[in-house]
Amino acid sequence: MKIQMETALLTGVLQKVLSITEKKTNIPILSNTLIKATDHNAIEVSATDLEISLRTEVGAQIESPGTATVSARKLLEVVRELPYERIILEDQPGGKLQVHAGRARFELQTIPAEDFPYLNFHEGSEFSRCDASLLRKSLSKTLYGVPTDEDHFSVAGLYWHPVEPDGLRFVSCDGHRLAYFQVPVESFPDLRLTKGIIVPRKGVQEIIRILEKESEASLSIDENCLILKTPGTVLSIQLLDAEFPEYQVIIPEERPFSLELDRDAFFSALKRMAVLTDNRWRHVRFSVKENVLRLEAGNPEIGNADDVLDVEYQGEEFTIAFNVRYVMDSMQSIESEKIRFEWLDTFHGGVFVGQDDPDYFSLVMPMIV
Amino acid sequence: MVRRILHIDMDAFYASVEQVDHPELVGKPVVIGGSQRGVVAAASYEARKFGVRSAMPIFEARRLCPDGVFLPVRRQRYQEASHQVMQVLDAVSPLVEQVSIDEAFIDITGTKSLHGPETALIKKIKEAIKHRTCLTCTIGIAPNRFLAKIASEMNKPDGWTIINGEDVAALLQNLPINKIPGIGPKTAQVMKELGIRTAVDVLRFSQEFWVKRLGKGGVDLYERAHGIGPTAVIPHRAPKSCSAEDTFAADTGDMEKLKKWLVCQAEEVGRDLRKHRVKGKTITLKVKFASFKTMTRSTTLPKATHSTRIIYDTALKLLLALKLTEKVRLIGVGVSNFAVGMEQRSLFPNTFLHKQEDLDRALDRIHNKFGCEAILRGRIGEIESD
Repeated sequence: MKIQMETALLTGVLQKVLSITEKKTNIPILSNTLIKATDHNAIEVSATDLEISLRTEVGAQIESPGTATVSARKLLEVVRELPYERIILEDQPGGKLQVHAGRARFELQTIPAEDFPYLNFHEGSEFSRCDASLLRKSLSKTLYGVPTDEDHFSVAGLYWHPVEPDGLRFVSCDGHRLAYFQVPVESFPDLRLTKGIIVPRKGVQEIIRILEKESEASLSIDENCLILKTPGTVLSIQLLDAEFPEYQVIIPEERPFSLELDRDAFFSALKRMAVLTDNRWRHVRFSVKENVLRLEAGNPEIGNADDVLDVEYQGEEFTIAFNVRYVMDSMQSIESEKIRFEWLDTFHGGVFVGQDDPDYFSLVMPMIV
Repeated sequence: MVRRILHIDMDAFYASVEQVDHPELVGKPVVIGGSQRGVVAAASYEARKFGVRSAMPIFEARRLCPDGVFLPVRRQRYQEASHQVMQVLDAVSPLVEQVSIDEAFIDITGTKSLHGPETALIKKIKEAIKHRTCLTCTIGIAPNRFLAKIASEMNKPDGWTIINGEDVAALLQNLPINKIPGIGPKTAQVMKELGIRTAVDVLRFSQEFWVKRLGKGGVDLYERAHGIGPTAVIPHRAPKSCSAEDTFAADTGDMEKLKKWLVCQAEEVGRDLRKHRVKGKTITLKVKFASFKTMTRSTTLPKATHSTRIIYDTALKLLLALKLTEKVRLIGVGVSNFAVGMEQRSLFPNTFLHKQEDLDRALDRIHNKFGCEAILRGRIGEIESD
C-alpha cells in the first residue's frame, strides 16, 4: 500500500475515528484504525470498539492499493506534528507503516488487517432521510441527563420514545433528574419506531459529533443497531438491551405552584451560588416568598452565599433545595428567554420549562437534609 | 516542661444568656427550666441566693423563690452563645477541649511569648468573651485538669485563680475531699466514716489501703490527693471514619467463618454510623494473614450508606476479590468518606434500600432496649457468595 494525501484531511478523519477506538482495552487491535486503499482517489478509515463502529472516506492519491491497521492515537499525534501539506503512507517489510513528509520519517508498528474485527454497517437495510440539525439539537439538549455509569435505577443511554399520537421523545434520566425533548414524528418519516430504542451515551456523543459538520443524514434501524449515514461516513451503534424506567409516572401531573424567571438572570445567579458549592456540598436552596425568590448556597467549610431575584408570586412560602449543577444543566438546555419553575411539594421533583421552548421538559429531584 | 492547663467556666450560663437577651431581667432571680422533667436547668446568681439549685424540681424552686422569673430552656440560643465563646478560645491555643456547653479546658503550656503572662491572658480572654457575647466567665489555671477546674470554682462569678506548682501543697491542705473529681456520695460516705475531710487526710493511709477499698479508683484518689492528675487536653474533632476489626483466637481459612465475622462487624459499624447519624461512601476491608502481611481493599459507593447489609455486601465483594492464599489472622471492615450536607432524592424509590433501612431501625431499637444479644441477623450470614 502506498498513499499520498493532504495532511489536513488525514488529521480530520483521524480525529473522527479516535474517539471510537477503545482507550482501555486488552484487545490491542481495537486501539488501531483500519486504513483501506482500494479506489484510485479515496481511502476508507475505520474504527470500532465492537459496539460502535465508524467508517469514513477521504480523498487520497493511491499509488498502490492495500490495507493496514495502526494505532489511531499515535498516527494522529505524528500527523499533527508534521508541518508539510502532503504526506505519504507506505507499508514496509516487517509489518511497519512508514509515514513520510518532507525529510521526516516515522515507522509505526502495525497489526495485520485480517485481524481487524468484521464491521457490519448494515448496507442492505433501508435508510430514511432525517432532519440532521433537528436530530443534533434533540440529542444535544438531552445528553446531559444520560448517566455515565449504569446502576440499578438508570440506563446509560438516551431513550428514543415514540409517543401518541405523533411525537418522538428523546428522554434522558439518571435517577436524580429527567429531561426530554419532543419532536413531531414526521421529522423522521420512515424510521418507523414501533417501540422505544435506547442509544448508549457514547453513541449519542458520536452522532452529535458527526452531525456538527453535516447537513444531510439518514438513519436506519436493523438487528438491534442504529445506523447513521452522512455523505462519506457511516456510523453503526449497537442499541442497549435494557428496560427504560417508566419515567412518565414520576412526573407530577398537578403542579399547582409556579413562578416565571428571566433565564439569563436566573442562570447567572445560579452560577454565583455555585461558586460556594463543591463535590460534597452541592445544594442551592430556593426560598419562595411573596414576589421574591431567594437563593442560598454554602457550607461551614467554605462559606455562604445568597441572592434574591424579583419574581411574580403570591402564593404560600415554599423552600426546597436542588443540586445546583442539575438546575444549571437544565438552564443551559432551555432555549427560552423566560422559564417557568413549577412544583407540587418538597417530595416531588421541581419542573423547569421554557415558554419559547415548549418541546423541552426537565425535572430535578430535590435534596433533603 | 511543666504543663499549664486553663479551665474556663461560664457564669450561670443559661440564665446569663437570658439576661443578655432580656436586659430587664438583669438583677432579678431568673430560673431556667420546666419544659423537660420539670427540674431547674440553671439559675441566676440572684436566684441562687434563695437556695435555688440546678436539678431541683421546679415546684421546689417556686416555693423558695416565688418572685423568680421562670423561663423555658432555649437550647439553640445557648448553643449559639457557646459557639461564640468557643471561637474566642480557639484563637488562644490549638489544644481546646470543650467538655460541656459552658466549660472548656485549654492547654496553654508555652504560650507565654504569644499571650504574655497568665494574668494578661486571663484578662484578654475575659474581655474578648464579654465583647462577643456580653457574658462573664471564671477562669482557673493550674498544672493539671482537676486543679484547673478547682481553681475556676474558687472565685465565681467573673473571677480567676492561678495555681502554681508551689501553691499546690497548701491548697490540698484545706481542700475538702468532695472537691476532688471522682468522689461520689458513696465514696464520700466511706471517707466520712474514716474521718477524712480534706485531701491531705487521704495521705494518712497508704495507696494499698485505698486500692483495697476503692479498686482502681484508689490509685486515682491517692494521686489527686498528691495534686497529681491528667493534663492531656484533647481537642474534639468529628470522627472521619468508623471501623471494627477482630483478631481470631486461631487463624482461619474458613470462608463461612470470615463471612460471619464480617456480618458482626458490618452490624457494629452500621449501628455506630446510625447512632451518629452519618453515612459513608467508602467501604474498606482489612485482612491480616497468618504471616502478618496486611492487605486493605476499599471501594467507593455511588451513594453514602449506613446500612448494615450494604456495608456487609460491599465488604464481602472485596473479600471475594482477594486471593486467600494463607490463613487469616484478623479481619475488619471500616466506613469512611462521610457524606455531608444534603442527600439527593431519587426519581425512583429504592425499595430494597428502604426495607433495609426499616430493618436496621427495628434492630437498633431492639438492641438499644434489650442488648446486642437479644436478636441477631440469621439469614445474612448464610447468603451465598456470588
